[in-house]
Amino acid sequence: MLEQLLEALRPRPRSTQELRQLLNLSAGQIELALLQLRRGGYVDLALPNQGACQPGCGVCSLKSFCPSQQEPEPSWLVGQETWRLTDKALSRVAPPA
Amino acid sequence: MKVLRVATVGNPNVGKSSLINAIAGSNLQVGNWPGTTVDRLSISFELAGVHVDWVDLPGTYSLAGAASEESITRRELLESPPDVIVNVVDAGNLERNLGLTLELSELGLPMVVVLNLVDEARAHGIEVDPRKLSDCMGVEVVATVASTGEGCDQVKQSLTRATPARLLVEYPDNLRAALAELGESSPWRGLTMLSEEVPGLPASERARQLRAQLELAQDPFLSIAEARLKMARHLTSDVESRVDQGVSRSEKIDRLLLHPWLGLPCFLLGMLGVFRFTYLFSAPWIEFLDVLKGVLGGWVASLNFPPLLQSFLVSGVIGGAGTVAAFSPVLFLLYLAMAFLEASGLLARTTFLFDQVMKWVGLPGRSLIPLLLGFGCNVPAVYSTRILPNLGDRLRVSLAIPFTACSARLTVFVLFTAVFFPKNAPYVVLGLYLLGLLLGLGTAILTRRYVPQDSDRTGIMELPPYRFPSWKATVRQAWLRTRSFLKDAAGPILGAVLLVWFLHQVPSGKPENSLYAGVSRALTVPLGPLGIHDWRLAGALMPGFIAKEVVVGTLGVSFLGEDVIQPCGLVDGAQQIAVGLGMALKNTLLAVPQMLGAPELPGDESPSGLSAAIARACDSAGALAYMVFLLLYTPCVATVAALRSEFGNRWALFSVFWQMGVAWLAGWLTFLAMNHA
Repeated sequence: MLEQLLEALRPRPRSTQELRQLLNLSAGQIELALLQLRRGGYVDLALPNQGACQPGCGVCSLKSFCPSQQEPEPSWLVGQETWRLTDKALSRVAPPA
Repeated sequence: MKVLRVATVGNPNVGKSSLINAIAGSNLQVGNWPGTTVDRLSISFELAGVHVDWVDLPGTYSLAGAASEESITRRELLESPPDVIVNVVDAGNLERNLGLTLELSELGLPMVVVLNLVDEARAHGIEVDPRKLSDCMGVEVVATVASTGEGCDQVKQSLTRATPARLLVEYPDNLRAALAELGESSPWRGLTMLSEEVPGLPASERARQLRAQLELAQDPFLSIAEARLKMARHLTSDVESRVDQGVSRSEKIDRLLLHPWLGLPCFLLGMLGVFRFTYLFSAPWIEFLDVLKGVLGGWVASLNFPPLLQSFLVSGVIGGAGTVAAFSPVLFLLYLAMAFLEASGLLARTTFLFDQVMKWVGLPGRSLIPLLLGFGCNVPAVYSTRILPNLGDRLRVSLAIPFTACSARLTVFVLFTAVFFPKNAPYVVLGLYLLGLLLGLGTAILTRRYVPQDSDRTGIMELPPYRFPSWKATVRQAWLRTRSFLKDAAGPILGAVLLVWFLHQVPSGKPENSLYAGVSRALTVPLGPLGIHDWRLAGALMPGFIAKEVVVGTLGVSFLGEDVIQPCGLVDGAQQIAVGLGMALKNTLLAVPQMLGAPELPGDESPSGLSAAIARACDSAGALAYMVFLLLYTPCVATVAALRSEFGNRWALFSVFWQMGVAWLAGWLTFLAMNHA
């Protein structure tokens, strides 16, 4: 499940709700998995000044970090965390074929 | 006597402190948001002939990791292992909670699993079978509702029967072989050393070698996490049954309260409601306590004490400390409203509502919680910033907290708005609270460049469920906070007020010619541009540095000293008290329709006593500038001490001088604006 989750985050950051629907997981499953991955340094919150994210992008701070900058911005939902892969994860998850 | 060491461990906001309160009858702070407990707290009590030392640990999702809550919990469990771990689990969110439970089971310590909040789980169509979970894990599992005490007796009984849990997680063969070779005292220690570097748990050279070998196949961290996730899923599917109830009540309410456009007006309406409630229902009781104060003064005056002693008792003790006590109804009702907001889950919602605003400021959404707690008292609010994992965020929020209007400042606002803005008092106070919040956030923005950033780690926000608070618990919490305010502040307030009274008498016995008056008059020079020309108003700001509670007491000493106290007899005084009490009860009943929007009935609005004296001391522009200055000027000694202990001298001093400058500027601008309006 963890590998699937990392794979789902590879194209772009996603909210918890998006990940839950994409992988068909329960709220408890997705939360526990994200907590574990975060502790292992594989994922982190996508926020201004976090990782490579810059504050200059306005509400969406992800553009300069996002591996696919041309993609539309992730949906910012009130009460929903948005997750991104860390450098550690990006170096471990295999690039797309 | 036998001693039993117990430690409560669990995810944030699962009711750990509530459980201890229900079992031990203690008063640990509880709240419906993650991070209520930020440090190790311990209490002792007797239980069936056993001396129990119970440690309440901060909520955590894991035992490993570098965050403060993880470090505190890990240190406690590894360095002074308890006799029993009480693992509190949210029955409505079992699978996520089991992640920590499985880690705890691998410590090899006796354990009891408390399945808390079963009432909420049932309301959401979730049933967890404690017996099945107990059979699977090999430990006692007790279902509880800690807020009502349900199941708490069973928890007490289970403590002495606790046993270590069965090891359930099936790890890959290569990990098991490495674990066996390492031979650590508990599987958790070995697995942690094989998978990551954890502060306070240095991995041996052999562990590092084994980790390197394991990494050739897969990161052992991922293997361990995957195995635990699998077991959590398996256990949950075995013991939990769910009935899909569609959109929950919480979700329906959140659609309105967290709506991008409707959420903010709802929040402002809610805050206005809090202030209207506080004002309307406290005003009759403040008036009653004022009558009581007058009668007490009259009784003392009728005893014909020597003039100096009479002045000491009437002006110092009754006029000063009595004035502070007279405002206790405001504090009680504010604490009552805050306790309701906290326990219902509404307070935590504001962090989500302001999440984007806080991100714009460069702070995580949950930093709003310490800021809102600052409305009660700035000192615990500074300490509560420990819920933020980033030191830089903590410092910036702590520098913003003293701008938020603590309840001590509210007493002055109530006094002044009742005199100068009687029709718009709740709106003026709401404006002052919002001004403080905005300037605090402005400080957080301005200091962003200059504060150290220790890590880029940000806490995860959780949306707690709505809970209808128990009235008993809410009133109890409000009462405990009011009592604590009066008790903790009583000594310093009485001491400071009596010192102020003494300084009023030196050297001639005439307050207007005293040394205190001289220094106060000197203060009117810098405060003159703010419209504050009366030495008594300016002077009251000086002891406010010791504690803001003293300001209103000092005003009482300074202004009421000139009033002639009319002696009164026992019967006459008792009659006045009885009439005052009747009026207070009648006006409280009349406040109910007013709270619901009915127009205020015309009444006698001519100020009396302290209010009348203050009305003569300045105009409305000066009064508003005075309140703005009081809201923003240098924090009290206790807050400065809290800032110093958390962040050092430099930042504490910065806070003092920065706030003084901001307060003067804001007060001056307010005075100018009022005169040009």
